[in-house]
Order: sequence, then C-alpha cells, then structure tokens
Amino acid sequence: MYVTRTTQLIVGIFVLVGIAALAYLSLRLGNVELFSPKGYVIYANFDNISGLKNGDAVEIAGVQVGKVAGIQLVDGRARVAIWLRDGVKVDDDAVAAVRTRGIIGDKYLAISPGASDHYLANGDTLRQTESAFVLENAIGQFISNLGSSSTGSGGTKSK
Amino acid sequence: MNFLTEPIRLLGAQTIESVAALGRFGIFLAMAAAYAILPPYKPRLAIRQIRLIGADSVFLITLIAWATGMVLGLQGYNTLRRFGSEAALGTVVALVLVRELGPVLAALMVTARAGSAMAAELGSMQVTEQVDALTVMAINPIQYLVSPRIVAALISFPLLTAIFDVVGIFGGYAVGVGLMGAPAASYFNGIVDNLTPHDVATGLWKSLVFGLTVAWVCCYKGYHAARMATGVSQATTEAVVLSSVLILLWDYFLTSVLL
Repeated sequence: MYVTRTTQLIVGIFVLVGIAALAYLSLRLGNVELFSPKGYVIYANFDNISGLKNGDAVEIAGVQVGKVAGIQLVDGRARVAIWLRDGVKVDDDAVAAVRTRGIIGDKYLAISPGASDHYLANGDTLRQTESAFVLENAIGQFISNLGSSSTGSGGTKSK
Repeated sequence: MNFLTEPIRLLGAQTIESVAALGRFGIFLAMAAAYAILPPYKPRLAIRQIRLIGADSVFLITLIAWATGMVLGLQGYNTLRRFGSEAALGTVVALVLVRELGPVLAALMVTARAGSAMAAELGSMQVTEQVDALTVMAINPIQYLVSPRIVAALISFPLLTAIFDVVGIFGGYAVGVGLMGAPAASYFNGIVDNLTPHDVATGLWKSLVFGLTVAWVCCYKGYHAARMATGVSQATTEAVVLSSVLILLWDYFLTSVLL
C-alpha cells in the first residue's frame, strides 16, 4: 500500500495538533504533574476535619505551600498527612486548622506559624491543631440560644 | 402436537441465532485485535486510515466544538447569573466538555463522517466480492481491512476529543467572556483550579472505548453486508444507528464506573 507524502504530512500535522491539545488540556488546565516537585510530609491529628479531602490546599498566611496527602482514622481521631514543598519551614509550635473558604466553599488547611526555632522534619507531627468549624453545629447552637433567650425575654415581658 | 412445539422450537432457534451473532461479533473483534497486536505490522494501512478517520475530521470537529462551546458559554452564563456565580462559568464549560460532551459529540460526529464511510466501503467490497478476491490472493481480509481501521480509530479518537475539548473551552470563553461579559480572569483560573487529571483521564478513557466501538461496529456491519442491492445501504444504516446507540449507552456505563 502506497501512502502519498501529502497523506503522511497531513497525518503528521493531525497527530501533532492532537498531542498539543492533549498536552494543553492535561498539563496547563488539568494540573498533571510530570515532574513531581520535591517536598516532605508532616502529620497532624485532629478531632474533626469535617470533610477535608485528599489533595485539598495547605496554606501559610494565605499562600498555598502544599496539599493534604492522606487522611487516616487513628484511635478515633483524624491523622492528616500534610505534603509541603521543599523550602517551606514549619516550626514545632505552629497550629494547623481546618478552614472553609467562604460559607459553603472548599475546605483547606491553614498553618499559623509559632515562635519556636525548631523546625519540623519529614515524618514529624504537629502538636497543636484546631478542629474544623462546623457550620451546622454553630447554627444549631445559635438557634437554641435564640430559643432560650426569646422565651426568657418573653417571660420577663409578661411579668 | 406440532402446533404446540413449533413456537418453542422457533424461540430456541431465535435464541441460538442471537447467541451465535453475538459470538461472531466477539470473534470478529478478537481476530482484528490479534492481527493488530501480532506482527507483521501494517503501519502504512493504519496511517491512511488515520488520515480518513482523524485528520480529515479535524475541520468538522473544530466547527462542532466551537459551536458547542459557544452555546455552553451562553447557556452557562445565563443560568449562573441567576445565582450570581458567573465566575464559575469556565469550570462548568470545561467540566461538561472534558467529561461528557467532548468524547460523546466527537464520537458521534466521527461515526457520522468516517464510520458510515467505513461500513459503506467494506460493504461494497463484500457485495462486489472483492473481499473474496483478497482471500484468493492469500491476503487476510480482516488483517488488511479491519485491523488498521481499529488501530487508526484508537489513535484518532483521543486526539480528536482533546482538540474538541480545547476548541470548545475557547468557544465558551469567546461567548461567555467576550460577548456576555463574564469575568475573564476567573474563567481560566476556575478551570485550572477545578479540572483534575482524573477528569481528563475519564474523558480520554471514554474516547478510547468509543473509538473501539465505532470501528468495531462499522467494520463488522460492512464486512457482513448482505449480497443484494440493499445490502450496503442496510449495513451503513445499521452501523451508524448501532454505533450511536452504543456510544450513548457506553457513556452512561463508563460514567458510573469511572466517576
């Protein structure tokens, strides 16, 4: 079967354009990491992470410095593996907290630096954590407070 | 007694025929796959088919993708504006295209363009006994006709789908941001933040499955065209209808498995 040079050229262009589109889609838009950047993993134990997921952002001062690399249940608490880029230093009295972007936004992990000079290395565990703020609980509490205060005030008025 | 057993006998004959047809269908693919994997390889035949299935479809795919992206931008913007979340337009357009519409619409368009041609070409070769002539010349017709088409479809479909996705995303940008005035920065930032490698992989897996399905069904229907005046037209119709139905059914199945 003879294949003309034109056909070969057209197929070559098609394959190149297709691969370029594929690369743009996965590398530029889809965040596929061909060369995984170097980093290290520290751990933190939480009472409640309220839906934090693998791959969620880890931020220090609002700057993304890593991501959640794994979540396990250990002795009834959530043990979160935190992957941090090389060069990001976290001292051993920093506080990790699960936060929510906006009211119903994504969960992320915020690390507030402490004042110690001793930095955590690969495999170390953060001592201080702050559990997720659970909106439903807060609303429930607010409503029950509202209920008790209104009956209370109603009671005083009727007197 | 005969009138009692006759319906049962017909039911049995029908069942056997259905199972046999399914078996022929499966053996057809197994043989084509075996010839594609085992040497000798026929890259030239496959290259010619990549041109017919892939390269010559690029213009059509670009046109359809641009139109689809534009309508997604328009509909998406008008719907999201009700909730005050125009910023999510890019995410919506990209996820819909990459996960669903890209693979499905690209596959349907290629079925209409190249799948029908495949069935008609093989059908007329079968009807005019050219397939038998190949056999007489000691050329295996499945190795020569079917395997290159399946290989070419497996290469072309993911590439066409990727082109469809990218063009569609820019089509959505042109209308959503350019015409309607959705925030420009959050369009692409939203895509980068929310489109995961898993989404892209899902779309590509779908396109591979669709490519195999279309080439398989269209070659099978053409190859087994009946030797009569209506044989080719019937084979082409069946090939296009069955391919389209299978694409949409597979899509639901694959979505539920890959999600």
